Amino acid sequence: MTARVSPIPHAARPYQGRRAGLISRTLAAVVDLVVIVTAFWLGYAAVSVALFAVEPRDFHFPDVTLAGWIATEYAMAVVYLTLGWSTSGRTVGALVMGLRVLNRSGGPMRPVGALLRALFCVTFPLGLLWILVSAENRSLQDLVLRTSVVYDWHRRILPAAEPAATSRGPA
Amino acid sequence: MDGQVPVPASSTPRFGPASSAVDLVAGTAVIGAEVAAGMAGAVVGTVEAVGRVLGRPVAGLARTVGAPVGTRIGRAADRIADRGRAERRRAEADLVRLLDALVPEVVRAVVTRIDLTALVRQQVDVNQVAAEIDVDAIARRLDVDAVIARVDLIGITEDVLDRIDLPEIIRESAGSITTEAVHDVRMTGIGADEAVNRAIDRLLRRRGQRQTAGPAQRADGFAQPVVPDRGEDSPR
Repeated sequence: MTARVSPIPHAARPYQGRRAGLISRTLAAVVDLVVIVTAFWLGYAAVSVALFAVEPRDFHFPDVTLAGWIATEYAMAVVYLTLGWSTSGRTVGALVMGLRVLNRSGGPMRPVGALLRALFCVTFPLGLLWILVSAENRSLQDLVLRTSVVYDWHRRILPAAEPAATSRGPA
Repeated sequence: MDGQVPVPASSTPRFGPASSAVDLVAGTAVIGAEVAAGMAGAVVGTVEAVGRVLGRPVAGLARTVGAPVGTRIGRAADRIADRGRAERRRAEADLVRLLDALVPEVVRAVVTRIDLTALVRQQVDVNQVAAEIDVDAIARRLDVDAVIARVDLIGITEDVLDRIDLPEIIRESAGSITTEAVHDVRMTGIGADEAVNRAIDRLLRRRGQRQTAGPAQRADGFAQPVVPDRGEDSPR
């Protein structure tokens, strides 16, 4: 018998497990975008340093075309989102905003599902706006892939509920 | 207090005067019987003495006639004594039944007509009685483990921690500025989500609450809102 005390502040408890709205998810997406762009340019800087170290005399910054940049960012975003959603169910942006992406059974997405969702989200980010129309706070990607983005301030995905466990309604 | 006075179910009181009267009758019978038996014996003795004087034939005659008479008188006395004893016991039983029925009613009638609490306060020095109670002895006899076993300590602890909002206290005392900022950003996001939802719902003239309950995998007491949205259940 173990006492459980929720680490979540009182004010936030009623929202835990509920599907998040547009603002939180947009802010999370913006944070993720910043992370990906920053990662690209950090990578660019790292490559530049490496090139400089190899041939200092002939060094020049690598050329980056717009198409190449977009393609790389696209690929990075897909990989980044797939890894985040298939492991902890959250990316850096979701962590900041206290969100988590869950499959319909409440667990983290499988890699294939996460990859499909990442491709869908990066290709058509405007699908997020469907939250406004949806009465269930679901984006277009959520509807197609039957996923949910919920408020979840806990550090890790909670273990599956035991049969005798009780649930508390929102205060 | 309801005026009930407990009375032992099988009380067998001894009632001096009543039993004495009954016993007196029975005793008289017994004594009468004994006197009769003594007289019969004396008659037999006298007859025997006369017999000794008058000679064996006469004595034999007296023994033949006197002994049966004495025996019959003694038996009659025993029967009278037995009768007296039985009558006394029956009378005692009747009296006990009568008192069993009568005493509770009398006590109830008395108790309902007086303020027993006031009477006790007036007549009894409660403080003195309490002062003489050895509380330590009572405490020593108390099975504290059994008392604790009946108490839901875990539930009480959870309830107390929940009411004092321990996580918030820990955050305020040891939480970093980053943690504070993150919580503020998250709460602001939730508030903005709610505001946007309300505005859109009003714009679309949508009635009722949004069904925002997520997958019900986390019914473990932490992530609470796994219940379907229903009016007052939904967070505002």
